[in-house]
Amino acid sequence: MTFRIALIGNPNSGKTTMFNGLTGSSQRVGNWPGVTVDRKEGKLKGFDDVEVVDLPGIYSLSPYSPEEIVSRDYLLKENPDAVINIVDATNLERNLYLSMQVLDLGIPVVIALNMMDAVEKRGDKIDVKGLEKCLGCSVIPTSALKNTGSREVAEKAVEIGKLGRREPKKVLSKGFEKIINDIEDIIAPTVGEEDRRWYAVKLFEKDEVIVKEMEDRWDDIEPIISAYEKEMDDDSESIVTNERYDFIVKIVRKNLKKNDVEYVSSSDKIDRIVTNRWLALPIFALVIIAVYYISITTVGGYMTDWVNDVFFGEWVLPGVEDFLTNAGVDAWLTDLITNGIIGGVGAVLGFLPQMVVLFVFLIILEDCGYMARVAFIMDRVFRRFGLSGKSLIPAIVGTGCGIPGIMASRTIESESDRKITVMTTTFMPCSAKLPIIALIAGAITNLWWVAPASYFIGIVAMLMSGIILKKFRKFMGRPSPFIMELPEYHSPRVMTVATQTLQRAWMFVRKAGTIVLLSSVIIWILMSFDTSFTYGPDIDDSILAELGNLIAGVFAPLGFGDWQSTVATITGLVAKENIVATLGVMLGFEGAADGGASAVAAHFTQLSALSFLIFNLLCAPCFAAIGAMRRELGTWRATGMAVLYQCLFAYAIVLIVYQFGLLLTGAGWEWWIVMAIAALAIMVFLLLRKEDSEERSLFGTITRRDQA
Amino acid sequence: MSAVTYVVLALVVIVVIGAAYIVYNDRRKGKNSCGCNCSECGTACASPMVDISEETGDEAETVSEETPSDPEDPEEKVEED
Repeated sequence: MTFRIALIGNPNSGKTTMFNGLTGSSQRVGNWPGVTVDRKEGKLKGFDDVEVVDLPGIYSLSPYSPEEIVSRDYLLKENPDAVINIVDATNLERNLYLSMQVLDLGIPVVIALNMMDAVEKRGDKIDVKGLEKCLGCSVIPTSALKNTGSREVAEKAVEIGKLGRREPKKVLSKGFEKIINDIEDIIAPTVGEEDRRWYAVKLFEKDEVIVKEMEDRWDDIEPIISAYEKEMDDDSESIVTNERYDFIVKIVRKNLKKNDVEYVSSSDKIDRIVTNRWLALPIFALVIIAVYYISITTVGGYMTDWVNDVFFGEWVLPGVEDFLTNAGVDAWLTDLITNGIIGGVGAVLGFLPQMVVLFVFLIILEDCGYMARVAFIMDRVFRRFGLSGKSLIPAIVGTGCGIPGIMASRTIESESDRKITVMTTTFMPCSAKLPIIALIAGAITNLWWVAPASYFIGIVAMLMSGIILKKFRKFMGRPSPFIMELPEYHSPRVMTVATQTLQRAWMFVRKAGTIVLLSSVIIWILMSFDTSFTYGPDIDDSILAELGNLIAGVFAPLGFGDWQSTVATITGLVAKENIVATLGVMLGFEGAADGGASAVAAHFTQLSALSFLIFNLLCAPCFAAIGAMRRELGTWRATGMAVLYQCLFAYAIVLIVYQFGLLLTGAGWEWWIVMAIAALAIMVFLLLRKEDSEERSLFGTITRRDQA
Repeated sequence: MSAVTYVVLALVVIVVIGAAYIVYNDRRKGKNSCGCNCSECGTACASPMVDISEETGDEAETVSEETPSDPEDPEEKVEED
């Protein structure tokens, strides 16, 4: 039988780092809450029959958000054999609140006093033995980051877990414990001894789920609670909270000796500049510009040029073509392999070096703790417009892939904020969109700012959509409070950066070898036959051209109303990498930056290329991301509306950009400028209009209900 | 078509079927929908959404015409925690 150990603790206390250390896994570790939104399981190294379960971080066992429900349900319904409670030793008081609740469950608990290295650095001292005595469970100092103490904690958990559950220690005030005892006596006939205290405390708190479960006993219990509430002149939930905190404050005072000298850490010093009210945003902008500039234009660009020009251009493509021709393979099959498969897959893979350099930078920024500051900095901006900085965390996660970004929105308590975040996270440039960004940035060689601008376009689009959507009744509501601890800065760990970069790069290659390859073959077939299935027609008479021309007119006001751009945009719904692969097959460039850029430059004007890029950044994401949106929004109707909004928003923005661009650059004007002016007017109206009275009254209803 | 063309065509068909099988298999197992590696992903995108309604009494599935509601007063939660 498998022995199960659950890892539980506050968000950002180091659970996943410890999980990785104990199991040898490489789960994504984040410097902000919400990186883990579902449980993860792995075998304890050296113990085949011991399973370790990493649970999402929570502050208490009273669930508010979906990931808190995941953690609570696991502890209550799946009865793990032991619990490792990871406590951030630099913030004992807050972390021990959850420990108190976990201890009430009666499950064997080992407390991992994590981040002890940071405590020592501050000059503070914790009496571990004293803490053990007060809490009635094993306490072991650890540093998950340095992988010290984790093994001892796991071995201790196995040892005490084998002894089985036991009655929790009663540590709260005598008066309170007496009430709990009375409730325990009432529920004794229906609840086992081990669970009795947990149920009694939860009933005292009037936990809805537990009260419903014990409905038949509630009439006997309720008067006891009411009498005590009257005696204490407080509500039951606050009484429990105060009782726990009184105890925690007492034991922390007893066992923690603070350094008398005021300690200002290096992180505090850096934060004085990096999170400064006036400097924070310019620093963030400079960091992103530098990252994209180095990745796309300089270092990554040079490497990509080599891959395209030398690897694909001089070695792979001519080599394969010569080999197949000399072997006597028919011309059509040679064309399929070189222009179809290598042309499509190669066009995407050519951007791998730029992506790897970008991944390295973004992972370093995440790992050292800077991205956590970005969420904090942007919260100030977002809150000014009635939005929450919590939406920024999914957006940052979404720069890797939109789907985990959409899923990360689960941590947002407010339903309206969560829905808005789900609808707008994919505006951020995910890794699949990087090839098209790099391609267009390469095609418009004089405009170095195109690549970093794509990142800021994503943020601005999120912000604008948030402001617009918040004006609608369906999305109204107060922004979620955003409270997060800023982690200490530390040097990026080489292993973390290397592992995460390799994982992302491998997945990119895998996707190129599967979905992009299949799409490229289909594109080649549709491009190589006409409607009477004759091979080798003029490309403008091909099936693909016929299909593309059916809807190409829709994009004409945006500057790319040709069938090639239309088909590329549509294939982007399968996977965004397909946009480049499709252009690669149709425009005949096997690689990217140089050959690809010149082909794109010949096909688009600077303005239409920019329009094409912005539309593909903001319009509907790939089908997989739409599926993720469906899971989070709950219904296909809501998902359809969300996708429709994304497409209309993208269309309106690009219409304005292209039509005004034509006018401002002196390239002439089209009648569509009238529609662009109308779109601009509507957008300004939606951005500036105030909530109507009915909506305000509904907003008031929320406030009252929340306060109740 | 020459014999060598048949051989190369067979290889291409095997590669294409292999790619299709990988995509199909990933979808069937409910993983890798984003092209990312689910076993390495803490966000568990393949997992179904937890139904909040059972736990908090809120509407999780339906998109209400009424103003969306916050599950609980978050400020109160902060004080409590």
